[in-house]
Amino acid sequence: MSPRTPNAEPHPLESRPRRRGTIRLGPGGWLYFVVSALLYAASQYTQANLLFAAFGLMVGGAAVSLLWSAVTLRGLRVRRILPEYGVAGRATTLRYEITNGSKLPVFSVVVGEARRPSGRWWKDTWRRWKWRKRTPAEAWVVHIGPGQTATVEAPAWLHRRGPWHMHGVVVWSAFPFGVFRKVARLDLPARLLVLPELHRLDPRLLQSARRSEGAGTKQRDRAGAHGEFFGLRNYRLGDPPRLIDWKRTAKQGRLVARELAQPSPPRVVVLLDLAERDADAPGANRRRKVDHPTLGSDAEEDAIALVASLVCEGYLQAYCMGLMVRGPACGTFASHHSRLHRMRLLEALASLDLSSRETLPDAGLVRPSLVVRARDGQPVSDGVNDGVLATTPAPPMLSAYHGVRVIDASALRDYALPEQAVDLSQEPARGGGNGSKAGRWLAGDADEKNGEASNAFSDGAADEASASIAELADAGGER
Amino acid sequence: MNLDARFRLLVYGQVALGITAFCLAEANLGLMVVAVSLALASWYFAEGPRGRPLPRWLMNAGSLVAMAVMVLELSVRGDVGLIVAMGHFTMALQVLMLYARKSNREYAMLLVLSLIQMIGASVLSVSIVYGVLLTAYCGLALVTVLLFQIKATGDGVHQRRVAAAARAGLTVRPRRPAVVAGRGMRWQFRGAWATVGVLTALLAAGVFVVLPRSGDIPALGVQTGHDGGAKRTGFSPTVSLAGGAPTDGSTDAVLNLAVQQFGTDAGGDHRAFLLRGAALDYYDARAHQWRRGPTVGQADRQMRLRADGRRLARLAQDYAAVEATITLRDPSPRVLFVPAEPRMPGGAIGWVNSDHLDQITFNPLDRQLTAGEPKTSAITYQLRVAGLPNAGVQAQYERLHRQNLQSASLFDPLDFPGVDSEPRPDAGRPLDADTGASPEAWWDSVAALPLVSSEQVRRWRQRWAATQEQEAVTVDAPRALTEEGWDAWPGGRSRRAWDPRWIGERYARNWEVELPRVRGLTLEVLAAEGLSRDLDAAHSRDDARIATVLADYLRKNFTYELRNPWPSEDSDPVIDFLFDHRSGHCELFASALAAMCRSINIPARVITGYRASEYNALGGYYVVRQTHAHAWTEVDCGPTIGWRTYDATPSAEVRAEHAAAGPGWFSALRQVYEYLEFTWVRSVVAYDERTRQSLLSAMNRRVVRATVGPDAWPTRTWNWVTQTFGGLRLRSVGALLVLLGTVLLGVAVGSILRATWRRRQQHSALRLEKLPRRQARDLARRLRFYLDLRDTLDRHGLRRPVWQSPADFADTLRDTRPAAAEPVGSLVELFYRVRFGGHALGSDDRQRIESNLRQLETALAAQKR
Repeated sequence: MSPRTPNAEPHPLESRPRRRGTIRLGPGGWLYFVVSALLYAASQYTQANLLFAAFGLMVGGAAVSLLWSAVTLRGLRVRRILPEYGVAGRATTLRYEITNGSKLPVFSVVVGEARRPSGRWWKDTWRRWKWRKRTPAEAWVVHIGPGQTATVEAPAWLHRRGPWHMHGVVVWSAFPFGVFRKVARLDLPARLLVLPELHRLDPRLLQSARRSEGAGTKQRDRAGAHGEFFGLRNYRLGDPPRLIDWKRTAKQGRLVARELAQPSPPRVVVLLDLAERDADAPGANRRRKVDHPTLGSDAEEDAIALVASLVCEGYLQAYCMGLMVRGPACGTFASHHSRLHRMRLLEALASLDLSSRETLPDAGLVRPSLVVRARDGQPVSDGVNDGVLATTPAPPMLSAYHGVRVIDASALRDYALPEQAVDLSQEPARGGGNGSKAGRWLAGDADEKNGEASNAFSDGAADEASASIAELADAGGER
Repeated sequence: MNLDARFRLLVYGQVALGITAFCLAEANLGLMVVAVSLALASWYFAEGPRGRPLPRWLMNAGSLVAMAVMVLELSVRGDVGLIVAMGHFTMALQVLMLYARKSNREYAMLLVLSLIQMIGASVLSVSIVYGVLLTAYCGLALVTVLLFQIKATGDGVHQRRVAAAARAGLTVRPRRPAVVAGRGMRWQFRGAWATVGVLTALLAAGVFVVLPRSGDIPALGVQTGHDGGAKRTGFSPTVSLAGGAPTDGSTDAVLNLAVQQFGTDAGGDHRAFLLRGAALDYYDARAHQWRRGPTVGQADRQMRLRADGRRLARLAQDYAAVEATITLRDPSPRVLFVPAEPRMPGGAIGWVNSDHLDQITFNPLDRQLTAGEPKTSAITYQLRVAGLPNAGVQAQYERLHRQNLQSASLFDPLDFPGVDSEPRPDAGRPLDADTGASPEAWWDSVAALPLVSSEQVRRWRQRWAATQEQEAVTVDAPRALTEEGWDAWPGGRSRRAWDPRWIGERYARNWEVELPRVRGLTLEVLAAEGLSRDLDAAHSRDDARIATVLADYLRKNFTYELRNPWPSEDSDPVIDFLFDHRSGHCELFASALAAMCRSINIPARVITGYRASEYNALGGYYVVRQTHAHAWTEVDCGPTIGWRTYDATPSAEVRAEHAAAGPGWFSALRQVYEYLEFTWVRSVVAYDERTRQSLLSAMNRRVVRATVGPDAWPTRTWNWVTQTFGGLRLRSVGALLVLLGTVLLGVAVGSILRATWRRRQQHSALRLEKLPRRQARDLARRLRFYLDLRDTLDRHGLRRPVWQSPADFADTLRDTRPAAAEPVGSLVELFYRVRFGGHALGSDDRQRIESNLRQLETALAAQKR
């Protein structure tokens, strides 16, 4: 679990109604008053006393409804419990803890996220009517007794990545007759970071990138805590006792410890190339750009989603993932594998502001193994590796990287596995996820944290280790 | 049962109840059986596990057919009103919709259609049965609407979630929102239902009372016995003797009669009253029909009733006359019924008053009272009639009444204080002008009556004199009758029908059908009793006795039979009754007596009305039904006696005919039902503008009286306080002790209530409500430290969510408030041991609790700093 939360405001938050609330005409209010007027006309026409009584009932019902609306929802406290992240295109569950602090029960209460008030009543009214069937999140509770607390869930379908600033909560109830609706707005500011859309990808995409980069399949040439045999040295204080080579120790009369090699997992550094803005490209979602200027066109967003999916897939495949972004301001992340690192990458992708000034990544530090572009150029084969594409004209920065695979946002459609969903809580499989060796690296990483050595190498690796020990023994013997 | 299923069940119940109420209001039981059966069967066919709703196109076709049927009903069947046709249409639509797939829109339409149907039924029926159904419907509708609102809100949330998911491009349909409800939802919902219902009913009652009525629309009452169809028993302003026996009429109550004498209830099972309705003086021999003479109406006088009735009421009480209150549920015949008894002076009306009538018409010739245009579905009026013979104080009144009986000035405007009269322009002068009775003498007799001040008499007399002068100026001569009127009048056109002398000679006297034969029979009967009659004399001394003998003759020698045989084709029903069949119903008895009297030149007329004998002891009134319709005879027994009532029908048979059938318990049940229905009609159905105004004025007076003035309760309370405590002395130890005891008692009661309330709060907080009382109390005492812990945490903003157990909450504190975690964990552990392990707290535990609480307070305070 990450100790750090991306939300700036502390949560869960709790708030009381800012004011006593307003009473509006409810969903059946107009119909109710029309029927009442008809009843009054009928009673006047026929002078039947039972109709007068029925009209009296209607008037009484409206008055009681108004009275009930006036006294309900008082003393209500709402506490919003946010998840750690949201994911675009997916339902995210918000939870509301509602406490009824009044002496009266409340019935049929709806709580949902409030829209930001514009400051003009007519504009708010128009928006309320226009978006009456759109709600970011809405929860419903049938009954809360006096002094009781209820926790309800509201699924929110998040359309876009980026921070979702929540301004407050609207609580309303149209009980008892739906003639009037008591609406109370509670100031409850919060922020929820929405990650880009995430998809499970075909593992071959990452494998091809790894192959092109050419790293990660060999052991790193330095000592580590576990892995294959690297050599022998004198025992140092703090070394695990099980690393002591008792045979050598007995021979030499001093403690001799085995030194193991440090494994190096496959590394993939993805370069997200958004230098060429695609705002005017066909298919660009203009409305989205107007409402959310930090977002890009559909292709750009798809490219971001593709990179985010690669990051997640790489985590599950136990790859060390690195990230560079060309275009909007964003830091460069060296390749690493951990849950925290994955979330940092996803946060960076979620927070990308495509309206910001274009910058160039620090390309001199990390060599990308995969370039993702928003838009495809003329696809040509560079003739270096099978299936590796380049674009024409190639980006100036990339001209030096021959053989780097370049894909565009359309690859999201090609490689996505729609039948599988990304689960951010899923850990990489021990012993190699998806049949690759990469998972073993992660297993070693996990065992490293636990202070235990992993013995999950393949038979070939064990043979290599045995050979190395034999060589070392021979060498030691010679010494 | 979940919310959805319960709501659907309620909708079915409401629709079925609405259909039942409408069919009962329409009195169409066959339709009720069919429609309710169809509605209930739809539960199996549409809502059951294997049910399949009707397709949409079939629904639309069915709606079109229902509309066509409605149009057909309106165009072909003329007797079906618009409301009934609309009710059938809405009924068909509801049944169809019950078989269809229903969303919230369809449910809303069903509820609205059902409401419209009930509104239509409200116009059709005023019975108490419908009132009960309406009340039940309102209660059921309230629950249904409340549940519908909850369901619709949940469905709306679900629909918005589905729309949001679709906009997000998700193919997975979101689940319906779960029904989240707190503890005690059922009872609190019932409480909300009751509160809303009571408040709504109170406000509805207020609106019902306050809302002004215009009263321009004719009333919609129950149908009378003669409604153009077959002849049925029931009141009719004419008597048709042709056509055989009448069939049984409706048992619906048509009026209620309450009789008081000397301020007490004068009714009872042992006593029956005749309610005089129409006076029929003209017999049409060709149509075999008794009617009111065409020229009698020329003597009608319209009278405006004054609203101020207080003085009248006092007069009525003082003179101990019989006061009758009549609630007429069907005022459409426009005849006001007047109670009478055999041997009572016919039409001896003292005064009449009503809140529901603006004016009435009185005819001094036949004493018939007619209401103006009825403006409500029921009217109530009070009558003063001549007192009964056993009244001591009323002898004076009877003398006065006899003195003025024949003068026809009985309804002269100033004869009856409180009754303003406006003579019709064509009505002529008052009939007492030629009788020789002196108005001054009448005034003297009024002044001699007890409890009437001379000042009152002086004032009435002045007004009377003023009216006389005005009449002398404006009404100098009567207008001549129309030609048709003269032609129809049996006396011919040579005489002026309004002339009292002519009336004295010709009114209700002649009998033309086989006169010699009838006269012969009459004289034969009289001769058997040693009586005779001068056929040329206008009146004789023995007329009263003659009438009695004739009535006895008919009563003893003729048989009462409701199903009398058809008369011969060429003969008259009265002649057949007298000489052939010698059996028949009351109209034939009354006609025969009138014919025999008239044959010997004694004026006689047939009276139709009701015989009130079904006494409701619960309400203290008589219930009169259509089947209680009766006919009898009034005979003019001379100037000194006047018109007297004679009922020639055998009383035992009539009593048996009118007796309420059924066992004793059924009769008691029926009385309760009648009482409820009468209360319903009197207070709800007959509520009108005048009642509204009087009710509001009374309320206003009461409010003013209760808040302002010497008799107001604040004043009286203040006076009591000052008198009680002002005279209190310190040495009055007893009073001080009483005061102290009262205060202590109040404090004790308050303390007990507060302790009970707190104990309940504690049990609720510790979730001990479902345990036995003793165990809950013991645990609450031992777990008080947990409440202290909770309060301490609460004060510092730490509140355990309901979904979290105390142990989990204590664990979360280890991360957020490490300093407080240890004492909280210790106390929570102790809580578990006591609550679920039955651990008894020892001295060590108490010390531990105290130290932990202190430590917790310190830790939280330090963290706050």
